[in-house]
Amino acid sequence: MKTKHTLTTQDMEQLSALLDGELSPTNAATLRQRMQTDVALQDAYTELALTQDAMRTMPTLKPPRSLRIDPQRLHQARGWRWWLISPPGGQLFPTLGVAMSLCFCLLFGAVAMQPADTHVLKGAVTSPSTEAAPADDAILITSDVVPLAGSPWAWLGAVAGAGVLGGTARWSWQIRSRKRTTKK
Amino acid sequence: MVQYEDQQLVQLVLDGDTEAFNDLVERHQSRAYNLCVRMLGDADAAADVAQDAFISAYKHLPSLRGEFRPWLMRIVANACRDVLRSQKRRPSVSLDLERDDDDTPAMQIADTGDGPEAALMKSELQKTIAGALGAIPDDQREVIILSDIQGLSYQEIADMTGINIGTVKSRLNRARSRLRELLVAAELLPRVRRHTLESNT
Repeated sequence: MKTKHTLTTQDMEQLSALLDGELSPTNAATLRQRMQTDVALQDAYTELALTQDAMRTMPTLKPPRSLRIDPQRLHQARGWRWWLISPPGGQLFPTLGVAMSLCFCLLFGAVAMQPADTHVLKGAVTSPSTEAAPADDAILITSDVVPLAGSPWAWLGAVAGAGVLGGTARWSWQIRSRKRTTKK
Repeated sequence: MVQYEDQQLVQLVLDGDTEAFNDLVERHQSRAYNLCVRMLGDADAAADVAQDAFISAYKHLPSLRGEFRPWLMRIVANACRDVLRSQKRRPSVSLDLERDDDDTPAMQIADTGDGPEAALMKSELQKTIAGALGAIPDDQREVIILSDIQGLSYQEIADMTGINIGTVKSRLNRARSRLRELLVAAELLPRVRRHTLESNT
């Protein structure tokens, strides 16, 4: 026997999802079964299907003008990311980057590996208590004039240099491989 | 002439070929424009917004991950949303989708070979739908356009709009129910049914 019930929002949502094929197979089967006996569900489904059909018959409109963009305008629109992937000097930029970061890494590495020993001038106060010694008497000098020798800062610099080296090398490699892909 | 895939064209653009970007524009301008014109209801504004969206896409192209088309359409939808938001702040701008001027591109209908009566009915139906689209809230309109005109799945709509699938379902249902009511009130639905039956035979 066919019945007619008032439809709930959930019913309508399910009908809409059924129409789009977005209902799970179990729910779809249950709903189809209900539709066989419920006239209101059938009518609502038909009307929804017709509404969707009407929407789909809306014509595809042609733009009133071509939306092509002037290359100059495109060039101006480039954001900062463009500089990263497409540097102004082409391969020159990443190559220079690799060279500079290599120098940076070697320099700081060399400094970091310098011995950090110091010599104390004859007659200077060697007591650890700085309060006891007059400040003018204690003169510390280093064996070489290499600032930061053996210090953690030099090691940090060397590690940072290695990081920058890796980054720029990867950047350079990406540009090369992208160019290879494009040529193919 | 060599036909490139979207992804190949994107690579060419990233290598500095701006002409390749215009190839992408030509390929996707119709879809982008149609989304804008249905969302905004103004043919001229739609063209400007679509073009601005293309420029924005170019600017952010290096951050593209995945496919170009859904990414582009997300940018276009965002641009339309921004325009609608700014129009709300300045309510003097009309949101009417239905315009009576004869030269409105939104009302230009391609000749489908139907008889004059069917063509007239189709035109009336499309006018009503265009008007009805303007009468439903922006968020519902966006979802129904993406689903029924652009043909996207619920998941794609959710990804594009940043809402969950449950919300997509409920917005779509509300939009369809509203459209259905308007078409029934305009006595267009039975005629749609008849037209569908006629066109099926």
